[in-house]
Amino acid sequence: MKLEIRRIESARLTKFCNL
Amino acid sequence: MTAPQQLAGPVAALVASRDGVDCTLGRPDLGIYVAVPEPGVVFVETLQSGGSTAEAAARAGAVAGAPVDGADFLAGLTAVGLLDPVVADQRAAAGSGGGPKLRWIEGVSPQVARRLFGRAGWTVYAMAASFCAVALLVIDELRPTYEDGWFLGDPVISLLILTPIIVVLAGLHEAWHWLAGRAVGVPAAFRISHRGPFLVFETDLTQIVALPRRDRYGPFLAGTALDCTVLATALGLRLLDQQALLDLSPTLYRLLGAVVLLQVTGIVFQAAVFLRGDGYAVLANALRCHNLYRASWLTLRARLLRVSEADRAELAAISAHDRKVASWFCACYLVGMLGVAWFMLTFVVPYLISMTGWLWANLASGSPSSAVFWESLAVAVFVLLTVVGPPLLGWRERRLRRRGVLM
Repeated sequence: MKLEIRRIESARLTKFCNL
Repeated sequence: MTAPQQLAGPVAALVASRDGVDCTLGRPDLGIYVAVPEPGVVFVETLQSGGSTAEAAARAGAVAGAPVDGADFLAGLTAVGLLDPVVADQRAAAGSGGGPKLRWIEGVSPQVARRLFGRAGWTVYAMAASFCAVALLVIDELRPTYEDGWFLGDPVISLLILTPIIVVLAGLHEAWHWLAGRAVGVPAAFRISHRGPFLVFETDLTQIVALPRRDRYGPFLAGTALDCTVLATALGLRLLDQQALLDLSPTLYRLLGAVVLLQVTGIVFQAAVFLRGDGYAVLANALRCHNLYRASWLTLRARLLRVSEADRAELAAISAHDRKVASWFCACYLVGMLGVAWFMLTFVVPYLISMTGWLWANLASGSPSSAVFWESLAVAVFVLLTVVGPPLLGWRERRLRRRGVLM
């Protein structure tokens, strides 16, 4: 059987700094 | 057949973790993580303990209950970059896509960081959030209005003073993510990024995916916990002044009003899950997704536009669960982005046009010896950064994503 490999997105945490 | 010699280093650098049926393999030095079925983890652990590829496939097959294609699995790991050579002093060691480490936080021990995020810490944050919610709902005078931003009467001086305050508040928010990561042993990388047309500070805690999902909520929510604490302090001081229990100077009272406006808008933006902020991280974790944002973008493009073969293949490589969630999340994404476009056209573009006209008049007619000239120049630089920053950063991040180093 084929073992599936799924890419995991980065954990990117933000704070908006647009005035 | 044994694993090729050149794979010994990369295989040893792989970190495997199990969270119920969810298993991950990752390279902390590269910031690359993948979800695999449990036999995949057994396969890698067998190689790491010195077993051959055939032994690894046999043990994985015993767990899977069917013969496992070991060569195909190794090829798959190679394709996503997990078996790239180990390079000493890897720049991207903290997260993906690089980003500097901040030494002063690296100096905070995990034990000290844990004190901020124990039962007592979260009790304080929950009380602050509750106080903010009740105060803003019940007391009309505490609610922010957009005029609160111009707390000095002169919009330019207000803008000049608010800019460093925004940077400090954003830095504190990110520092709290960082410290919460430190408390659970996850290092972070810091970078300046964008969300749609907005400039953001960003903390990358990618290594957190090796932790069980329930342990990820604390670091994800830590930034907003700090925001609520700052907001509660500003609201509390303004309330004490209103009740004549404290006598703040009028300027300080109005400055606190500007801080309230900044923090309330900041917290509301976090709830905009389609912008992939902290709220998105919490939602995607609760929905047990691995790559929801990319799946949603590809799903939306497939529905609205023609997609390339490469995009189709990329979407097919994402799990059925993520694609199922993306089938409705992509609608949230579309509505949200249309809302952002409306917001930009209604508020930001008119603001930029009037600001540019005003700045141009000041810079063209002002003398370099006048304060107005330099104030205008400083504001012009800041406005320019917020306008050209997001598209430039977007271009850079697309290149990084194509190289597979920033997901």
